[in-house]
Amino acid sequence: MPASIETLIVLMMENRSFDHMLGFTKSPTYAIDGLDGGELNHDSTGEPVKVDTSAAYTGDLATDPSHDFEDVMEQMFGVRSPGANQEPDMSGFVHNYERFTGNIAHGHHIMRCFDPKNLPVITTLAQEYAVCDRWFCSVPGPTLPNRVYIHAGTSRGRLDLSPDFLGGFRTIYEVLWKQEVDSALFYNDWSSALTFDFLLKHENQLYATFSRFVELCRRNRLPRYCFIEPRYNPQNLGSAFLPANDQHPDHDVRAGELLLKRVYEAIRSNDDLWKSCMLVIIYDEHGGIYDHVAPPRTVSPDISCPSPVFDFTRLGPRVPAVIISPYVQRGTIVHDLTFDHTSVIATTMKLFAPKAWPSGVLGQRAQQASTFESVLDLDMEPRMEMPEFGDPAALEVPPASLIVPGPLSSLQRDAIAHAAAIERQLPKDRQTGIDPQSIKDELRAGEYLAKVTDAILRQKGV
Amino acid sequence: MRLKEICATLLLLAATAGSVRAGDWKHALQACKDAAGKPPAHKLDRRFPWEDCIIKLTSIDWLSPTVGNIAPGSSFAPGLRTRWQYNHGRLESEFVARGYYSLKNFYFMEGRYDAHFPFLKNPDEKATVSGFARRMDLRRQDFYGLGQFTSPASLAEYRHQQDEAGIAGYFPFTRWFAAAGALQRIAPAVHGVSDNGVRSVETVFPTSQLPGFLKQPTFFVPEAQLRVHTPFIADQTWKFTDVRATYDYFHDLGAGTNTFHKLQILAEQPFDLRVDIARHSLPKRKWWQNAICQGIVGDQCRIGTLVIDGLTTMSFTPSQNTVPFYFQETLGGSDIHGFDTLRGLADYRLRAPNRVLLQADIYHDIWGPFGVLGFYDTGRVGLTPSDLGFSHMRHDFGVGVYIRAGGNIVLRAYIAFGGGEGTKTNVKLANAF
Repeated sequence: MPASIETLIVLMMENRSFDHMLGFTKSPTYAIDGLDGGELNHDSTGEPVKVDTSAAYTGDLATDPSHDFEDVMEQMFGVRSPGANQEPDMSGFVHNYERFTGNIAHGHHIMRCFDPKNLPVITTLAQEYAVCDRWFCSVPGPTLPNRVYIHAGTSRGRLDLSPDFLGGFRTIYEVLWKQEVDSALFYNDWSSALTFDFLLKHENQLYATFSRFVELCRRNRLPRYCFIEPRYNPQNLGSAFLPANDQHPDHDVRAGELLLKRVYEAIRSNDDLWKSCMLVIIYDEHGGIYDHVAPPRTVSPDISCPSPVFDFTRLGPRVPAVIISPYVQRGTIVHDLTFDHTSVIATTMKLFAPKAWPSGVLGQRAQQASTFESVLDLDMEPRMEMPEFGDPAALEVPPASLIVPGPLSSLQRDAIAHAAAIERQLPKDRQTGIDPQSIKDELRAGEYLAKVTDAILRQKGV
Repeated sequence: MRLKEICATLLLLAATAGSVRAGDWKHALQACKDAAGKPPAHKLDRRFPWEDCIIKLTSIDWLSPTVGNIAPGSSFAPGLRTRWQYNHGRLESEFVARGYYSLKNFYFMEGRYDAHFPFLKNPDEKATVSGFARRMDLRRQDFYGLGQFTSPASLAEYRHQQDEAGIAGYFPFTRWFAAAGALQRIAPAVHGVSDNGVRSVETVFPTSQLPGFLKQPTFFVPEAQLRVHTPFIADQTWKFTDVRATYDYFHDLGAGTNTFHKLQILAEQPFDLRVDIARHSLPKRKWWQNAICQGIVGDQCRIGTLVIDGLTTMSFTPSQNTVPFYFQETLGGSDIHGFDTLRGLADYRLRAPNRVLLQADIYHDIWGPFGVLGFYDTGRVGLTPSDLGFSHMRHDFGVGVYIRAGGNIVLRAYIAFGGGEGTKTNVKLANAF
């Protein structure tokens, strides 16, 4: 009797492109659409800048690469306002970052990719299980619209991160709930989905901390659909500093690697869970970092698009995507299917609420999105071997890089604005008392965002 | 408690006792308007509408009504409060002045200045330095004699007035360790009472059983406290552990015969009470099922919170010295600080320089700010620290209801059994101090 998938777990990391993380895993025996080493952009002097394997865990992208819509257009098309019929050639990354940093040499950093041996966790998981080399972010733009796509299937024509994204969206959690399918969102310090009305109305049943995720894995009590958010900001716990583990530039990539490992190991802590679940690791968007594959056209999720500048018929650059399950053959490369974040919605609905799917309830794009359950061979014997991730000490983040907090990234600035907008709706006695304007470093941002999250989600004490 | 007091209590339901931040008239009136009408479509705060209205009305900065309980026997006490904030950078400070006058003519007034500032990068708590002055008049305080084996029939009354002034500081060194201290000047004045139908203490007990009755000195009281606690952990059944050890040196500035030392250890341990429910059943649960047991992520539901408390107080005196009876520890109902003790006994029923108390309370939120509670208490007092032990412990148990405001329990009504002195019913507001 074939196995069945009872639980789908999605871990969405931050702001890294496919080539940056996995491009150099390409080899004659591992024929992904990755890098040969000859891929290049030109800088403003006309000098060719080739991809290489010199990416560092932190420091290369101290100036957060811009990935607002116009910047992504420049990265993809070489110009900020491409013609209607122009096709992307992925030629503008160096130009864009050079202009953004004001430094030609620094602009070259955007082409730096990781040597696979420096990313033992994601590389091992990709090669042990399935990698999707045609998974594109849903919007050629920043974090929040892309994250809204995975929850709601649309950003309703929005390309920005402004705080008026409050409430109103129908989400996968609500649709599943009405089909009597349970789901949950697990957070660390902050959730970018904090303001969806339905989630807040059912916060006890839909929100939980990451530590709860680990506990539920051990007891095999996870809901059917689980979405995990990384720690977006470093946190000072008084006696210890916790690094941000979202991998957003310029956060240390090793902390994110450890998160991937922790999630994988949590799932492997219970054999029954492992034999009935699928883990998908994806990144919300490319973060302005080079990828060589031109994003294809797609359909707009909305029947009428309210944006005057973009019709949402083009996907954003590729992001790393790894599918992990005991029913995946080692070294699987999913190349024939094109995915974006709405594929998660489509697959979840197909798996857990098939009678209600397909449907346009979460947008037209999700309705026609490719699904990835076919990557699994449910007739095969479940794979129970544990991959080796190498020396765990090699992934430890040096304490010195934590104690000196970095400047605010655009995501953190927008998250603060978002949190401040939320906080203004709370009674004064539940507000943090922190002036958002006074937050100048990411440690303070972490403190503020965690406190706002607590004010909304934490249970009442006695 | 009489019906009119209960009605007035429910009407005012504002025993915030300084537990909420300030509001202003505009926000308060808007909250009341929202409560009366349709709430905003997108409302992040799901506080019970009238709760929000009352809290905001009672926490208006410049002058707001408030209500509390001054001490056992005071009945409910309406009052006024004014609050002024001064913030400078990361230093937050406030001056609060408040006064209460109870239906039974007790009064309490306090002026207090608190300065809060970040301390050693502790993200959870700020350090606090305070200056305060208080005056209270507790018109009738019950006294049954000293020790574990007194009789309810020996009830007598005294009047306790007290002025206090001092400075205090609280310093959270880490997320799990804090130290606090205070320097206080306490000037008590204790008298017999002459109301009709009431027996004054000196008419029932010889002065040898009323140490400190004839003359009350002024005390200088340095206090030191160490606090060890784990951070609150959301989502876990073991919420936190909090242990406080407090040492007070009551230095008699008069003849010195009432100088004594007091050591108190208080431990609190709340647990989430959860049970497993059918797998993947959360979306199928009915509202009433969640009212009984609130479903949470992971196929469990939360019945409520179990809180285990342990309290030990020991007093030590130099030879020939005595601990004034009005400073001795009590068990029965609530103590002078509003701390629930042996609820199956009358307020202050047992009194001695030393006490030990163990309690288990279960709180279960039903709907909005309303909930039900159950409890078990056991404890005893001792004339000497060596008297404390597990022999002759008094026990009781009971059930009740509570109302929260601003997340804190502000009103409890309970019925207690098993104390051996009849059934006790009580309605209690949060203490004013």
